[in-house]
Amino acid sequence: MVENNKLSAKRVDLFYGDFQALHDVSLNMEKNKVTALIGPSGCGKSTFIRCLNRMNDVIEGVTIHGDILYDGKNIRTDFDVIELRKQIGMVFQKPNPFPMTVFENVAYGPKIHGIKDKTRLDEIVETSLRDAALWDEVKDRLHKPALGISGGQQQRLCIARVLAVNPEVVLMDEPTSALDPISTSRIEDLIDVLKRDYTIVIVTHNMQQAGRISDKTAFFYQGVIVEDGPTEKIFFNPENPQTEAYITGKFG
Amino acid sequence: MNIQQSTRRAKREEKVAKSVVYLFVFLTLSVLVWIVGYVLFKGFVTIKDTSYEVTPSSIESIASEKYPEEPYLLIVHDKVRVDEILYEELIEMYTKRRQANWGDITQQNLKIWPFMYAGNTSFYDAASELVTSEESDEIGDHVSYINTPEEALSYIENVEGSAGLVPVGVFSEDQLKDVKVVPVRMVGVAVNDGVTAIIDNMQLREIRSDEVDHLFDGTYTNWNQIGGPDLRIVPIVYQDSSIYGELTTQLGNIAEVYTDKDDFISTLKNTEGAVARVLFKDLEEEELTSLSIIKHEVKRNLTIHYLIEEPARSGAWGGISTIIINTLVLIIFTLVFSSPIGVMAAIYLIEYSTENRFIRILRLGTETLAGIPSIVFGLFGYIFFVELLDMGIGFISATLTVTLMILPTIIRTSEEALKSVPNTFREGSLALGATKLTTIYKVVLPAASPGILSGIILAVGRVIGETAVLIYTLGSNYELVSSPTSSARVLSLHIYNLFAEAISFERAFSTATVLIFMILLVNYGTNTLIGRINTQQRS
Amino acid sequence: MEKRLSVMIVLLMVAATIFAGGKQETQAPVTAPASAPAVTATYDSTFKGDLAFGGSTTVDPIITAAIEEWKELYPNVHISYEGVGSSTGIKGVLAGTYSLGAASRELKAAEAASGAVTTAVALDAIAVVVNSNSVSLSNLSVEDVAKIYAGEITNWKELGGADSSIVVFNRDEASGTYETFEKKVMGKTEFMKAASVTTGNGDMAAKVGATPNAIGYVGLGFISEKGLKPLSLNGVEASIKNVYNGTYAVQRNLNVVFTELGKIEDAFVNYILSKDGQDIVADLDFIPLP
Repeated sequence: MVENNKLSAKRVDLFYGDFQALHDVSLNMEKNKVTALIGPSGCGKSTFIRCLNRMNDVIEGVTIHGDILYDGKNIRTDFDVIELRKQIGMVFQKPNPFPMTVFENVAYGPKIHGIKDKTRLDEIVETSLRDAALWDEVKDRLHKPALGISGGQQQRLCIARVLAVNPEVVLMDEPTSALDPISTSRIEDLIDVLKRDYTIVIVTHNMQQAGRISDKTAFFYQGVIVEDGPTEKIFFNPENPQTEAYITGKFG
Repeated sequence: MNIQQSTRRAKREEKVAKSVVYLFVFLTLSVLVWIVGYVLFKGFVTIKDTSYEVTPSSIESIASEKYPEEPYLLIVHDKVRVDEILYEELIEMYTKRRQANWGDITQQNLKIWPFMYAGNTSFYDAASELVTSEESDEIGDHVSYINTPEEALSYIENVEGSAGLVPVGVFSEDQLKDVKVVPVRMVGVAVNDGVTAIIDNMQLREIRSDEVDHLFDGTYTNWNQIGGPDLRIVPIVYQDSSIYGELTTQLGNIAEVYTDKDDFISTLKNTEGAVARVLFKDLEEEELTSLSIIKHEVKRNLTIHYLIEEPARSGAWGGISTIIINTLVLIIFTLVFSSPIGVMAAIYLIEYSTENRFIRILRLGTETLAGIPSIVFGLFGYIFFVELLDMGIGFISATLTVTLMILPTIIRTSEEALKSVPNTFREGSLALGATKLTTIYKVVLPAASPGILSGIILAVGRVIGETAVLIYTLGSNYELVSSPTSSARVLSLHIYNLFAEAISFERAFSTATVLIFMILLVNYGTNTLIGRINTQQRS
Repeated sequence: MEKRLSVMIVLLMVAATIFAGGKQETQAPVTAPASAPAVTATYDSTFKGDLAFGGSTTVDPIITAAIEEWKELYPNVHISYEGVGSSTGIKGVLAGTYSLGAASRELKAAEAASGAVTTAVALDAIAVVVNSNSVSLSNLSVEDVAKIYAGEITNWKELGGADSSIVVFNRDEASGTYETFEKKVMGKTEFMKAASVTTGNGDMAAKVGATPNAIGYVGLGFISEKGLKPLSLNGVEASIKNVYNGTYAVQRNLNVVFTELGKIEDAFVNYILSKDGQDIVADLDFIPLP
C-alpha cells in the first residue's frame, strides 16, 4: 500500500510567522488517483497543496515542520526544487497564461528545460494540447496571443502547459472556480481522462465536483484534516460529525 | 427632499462638474496650442523690421555713372539663395582683400567666387567703375576675368558660389534664360545735415520704406511730422542720361529738378531740410548725410536647407545638421549606459530585495535624486568628471552626468512597470520548474516592457531638453562629435547659444521647432512600438 | 523587436550619410582660379588635436570666426570656444581648463601675478543702447548716463523723453564689458544695486531690445541687434572712426589671455593678428588694431 502512495504528508505543521495555518497534517495521495481536498474557505487546503511542490518556499516568513515524501523521498532534502516542480506541476485558480502566443505558452516549460529542437517542440505542443482537449480549438491560432482565447480555453491551456513538461503529478488549486459551468464540466471530463496517466490532487470549494471526480477525499477544517478516506465513504458515511455537518451544508 | 428634487439636484451638480472639467480641458489645450503654435509659427516665419542704407527698389540692369552706356547684369550660381543684393554688398564682393563669403548675405557658408566679363578694355573699365568706390578702390585678387561668353556661362554653372558681372549686350536672351540674374538695390536717401541734428537729445535717423515716397510727393511737408526738427521738407531730384535718370524719376514728384550734378550736390548740402534720392556710391563719395530705411520683412524661416547644412560661425550661417546628429548620438549613448543599469536596479528592488530599512532609504534616495534640478547635476558633473577625473569638457563627461541624472527616473518607472506585472505570471512560471532568473527574464520583463519603455522615453525627453546639465559638461563645439572627449553641441545648447550670444533669434526659433518635431517623432515612435508589443501580448 | 531595431539603425546610418553629404559647402570649386589664402605663419602639418578656449562673450564672434577660417588651413585641429565671461575665462586659463582665453578688459593685479599674460587682438567701443521702440532720445551726456546707472535719474522725462521709469540693465561682475563701462563712464560713481543683471552681450542686447524704456550697454559688434538704438555720447557716435580719432572715449582693448602659448595656440594668435585676422575683426564690426 505504501508503494502506491505517490505523495505522502507526515505530520506537517506550517506557520506564517507566528500564526499556525496547518496542524499536524498527514495524508497519503495514491498514484493514478484523484485526491480531493475539501473544506470551508481559509482552512488550509490551498496552503497544504502548495507545500507539495514547495511553492510556499517563495513566501517570506513561512516555517514548515514535518515531512512530505514524493515516491518515498523527502521533497526538501532529496530533491532540487527545479527537478521537483518538473515532476509535480500546478494549475492555479485563475487561469494565468503568459502574455505570449498559445504555442509559446505551451513550449515554455520544455524550452526552459533544454529542449531546443523545433520539431520536437512542435510535437510536444501538439501532444500537450491534445491531451488537454484544446488542440482542435486552437490549432489555427497557435501563434496568436494566448490572452485572446476564452477563460475556459485559457485554463485548459494552462493544463496543457503543465503537461508539456511531462510531470507525474498534477496539482490543481480550485481550477474551475473562475469558470462557467460548461467549461467546468469539460475540465472535469478532462481530469477523468488524465488520471490514467497522472496522479492528481485537487483543491475544490465545490463539494459536488469533489463527489463527481475524486477517488479519495480529505476534509480540512481550520488547518486540520478532520477526516479523510474514499470519497464514497466521506460523502455517504462520514465518521466525524463535523464532516457530516459540512457535507450536508450546515456550514461552509 | 423627494426623489424628483434630489434627482434634479444631482443632475445639476453633474452639469456643473462637467462644465468645470471642460473649462480646464479647454484652458490646457489653449495653453498648449498657444505655446507650441507660437514657437512653430516663429520657427517657420520671420517677421521683422530691418534697417538698410538703401531703399527696397532694385534694378537688374545696372551701370555706373561714368559709363551709362555699358549696363551690366549680376548673375549668380544656382546654389546661392539670394533674390536681391545691396550695392554695398556688391562693392564688397569685388573689392574686399579677403575673399567674401555668401554667409554675410544669405547665411550660406559658401565662398564668393566673383568674376568680371572683360572681353575688351572698355568692358573692364566700365565694370571696375561699377563695383569700386572711393574707399574701396581696388579690385580684389580673387576676382577672375573672363573674356568669352561661353567661359562665363560655364563658370557660373560649375563654380559653386560664383557671381559675375556680364554686359547686357553680349549675351542673348536664350543664353541667359537658365541663369539666375540678381537685381541690385542702389538708391539711398540723402538729407541735409540739419535734418539729422541732435536737438534736445533727439535725433532723426531713419524712415520707414513706405514713407520714402511721401517725402517727395508732398504728403509730408515738415520734418517734424516724422520725428525730425522743425524744418520744411525740400525734395530735389537729379536727372541726367545716366542711371540717375532711370532711378530717380517718380510720378507725382514735386521735387525741383537739377541737371547739373555739382549744383545738385551743393543744394543738397546747403539747403536746410533738403532731401534727395541718391546713388549709394554718392552717399560716401560726396560725404552726404543719409537716413536709414526700415523695411518690414516677412520671410520663410525654417527650410530643409537648415536641416542638412552644417553650421558655421557659431550657428549664424549654415544649418544644424551636425548638431542634430550630435543630439541623436548623445541620446543613444546615454540610453545605452542608463537603461541596463536602471532596469537591473529596478529588478533587484522589486524581485529580490525584501522590504527593510535599507531598501526604504535607498528608495527615498532615488526619489530625491529624481527631483534634483538639472543644474545641480551640471555642477556636479563639472567638478567631478570634468575637473576631478580630468575627463575635460566633452562627450564622455556629459554622457556620464546625464546618465546619473536620468537613472532615478528609469529606476522608478521600471519599478512601477515590474510591480504591475501580476504575480500569477511569476507563480505560473515557477510552478513549471523555472528558476527565478528565467522567470524574470522570460516572463516578467517582456510583460513589463511597455511600462519600461515609457519610462525610457520620459528619460529621453529629459536628455533632449535639459540644457543646464549640458552647458558645463558638453561644451559648444558644433562640429560632429569625433571622439569620446570632444565637445559636441546639441540642439538645446544650440538654442541657448543662439539666444545668449544674440546670434539670431530667428534661428533659435527654427532650432526650437526642429527640437519639437524630434520629440514628437520620438514619442510617436515609442507609442507605436508599445502598441505593437501590447498587441503581441494581448491581441 | 530585433527587426525594428535594425530598421532604426539603418535609418540612422542613412541620415548620417545625408548629413555628411551636406558638408560640401566649403569645398573649393572645380574651375576656380587658384587664389592661395594669405598664410602668415609657417604651415605646420603636424597640428592636430582638441583644444578648449574660453572667455569673453564680446570677443566670442572674433574667436569663433577665426577658428572657422583657420580650420581651412588646419582641418585636424578642433577648437571649441565657451563664452563664459572674461573673468571666468581668465580663471580657466590659470586653472588649465582652457589653453587660451579671451577677455574684454585688462588683467587685474592678482591675475597678472598668477601668471596670466595678454595680447590685444582688436579694439572695441562700448555703446550705450536703449530700446528703440519706446525711448525717443538719441544722445546723452556721459554724466547723465552715469547718473542713470547710479540711480539718480529714474525717469526718461528728466532728460526730455517720455514720462516713464527707466529700466536699467547692467552686466554681471565677471564681465570685462562691465569693468570697462565702470571705469570709463561711471568713474567714481557707484552702480545702483537695483539694476537687472544680464549675462552676456547677447543677453543684454536681447533684454534691452525687448523691454520698453530699457537702457543698457554692449560692445560695438552688437549694436545692430533687434530693438536696439545706439546713443551717441556727448554728441559723438560710437563708431570705428571715432575710436581711431579718439573722440569716442568708452573704448578698450580686446585681448587674448594665456599663461604659456603652445605651438598651435601661438599660430592661432598670430593668425588673428595677421592682415587676414584683422580683416575678420573688421568684418564683424569690431575695430582692427591701428
